[in-house]
Amino acid sequence: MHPAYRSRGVGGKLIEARYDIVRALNLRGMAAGSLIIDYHKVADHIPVEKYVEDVVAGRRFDTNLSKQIRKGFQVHGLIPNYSTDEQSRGWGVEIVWENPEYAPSHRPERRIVPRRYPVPSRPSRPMFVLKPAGA
Amino acid sequence: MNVYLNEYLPSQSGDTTIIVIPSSLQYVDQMAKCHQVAYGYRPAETSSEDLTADKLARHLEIFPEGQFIALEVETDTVIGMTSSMRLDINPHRPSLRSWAEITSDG
Repeated sequence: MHPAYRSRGVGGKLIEARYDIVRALNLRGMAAGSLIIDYHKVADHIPVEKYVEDVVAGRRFDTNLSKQIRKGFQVHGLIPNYSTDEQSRGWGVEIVWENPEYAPSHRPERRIVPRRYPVPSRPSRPMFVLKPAGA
Repeated sequence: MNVYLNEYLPSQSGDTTIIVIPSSLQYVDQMAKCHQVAYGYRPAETSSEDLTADKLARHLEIFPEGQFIALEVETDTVIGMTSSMRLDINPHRPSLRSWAEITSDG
């Protein structure tokens, strides 16, 4: 997501679109490596295992991983040297969403009809707030 | 603030129309830019892992159903994207490796 458009529910719609395709194609699920983009803030004193454990338990918020957990992904493990992302200190978190409708004997839909996912509009929020002098 | 972010900063007014739709070739350049901005990379920081427009076009060719964009309708600007690949793995024991290895550098 473009940083200026975060917190508007758009990322959730993107995940929803992917879930729908997994269901339509009768796939077993979705696996991904999630970056932990706020880990760098505490990496010098908190081990990554503890950090992820806290995010899973809801005791700590990670801008990337927390949102994916909220959308139904489950954390399966850690992937060392997952990427060159400095913020995540190279770590990836293995996350999985299982398709509850997966049926091994079912044939997938033969033709996928593309859908549009409108994002509900929200009131404008100023990017910068100017404080009055002396505040 | 990242210089690149300034160059790729759509309207951000908060009251524009945003839709999530399947992607298409006309948007791969914007998808690559959006991906860079989302992860805070500067244009000079290129790496073999970067999701380039060429790679995204190839994703569309191989698995078109799995490629989506969030589009700001008024400006026809990509402000979010997701790219999926099909893997033959058991979700109970997925055992992923590095992103570069799984995706062959994207």
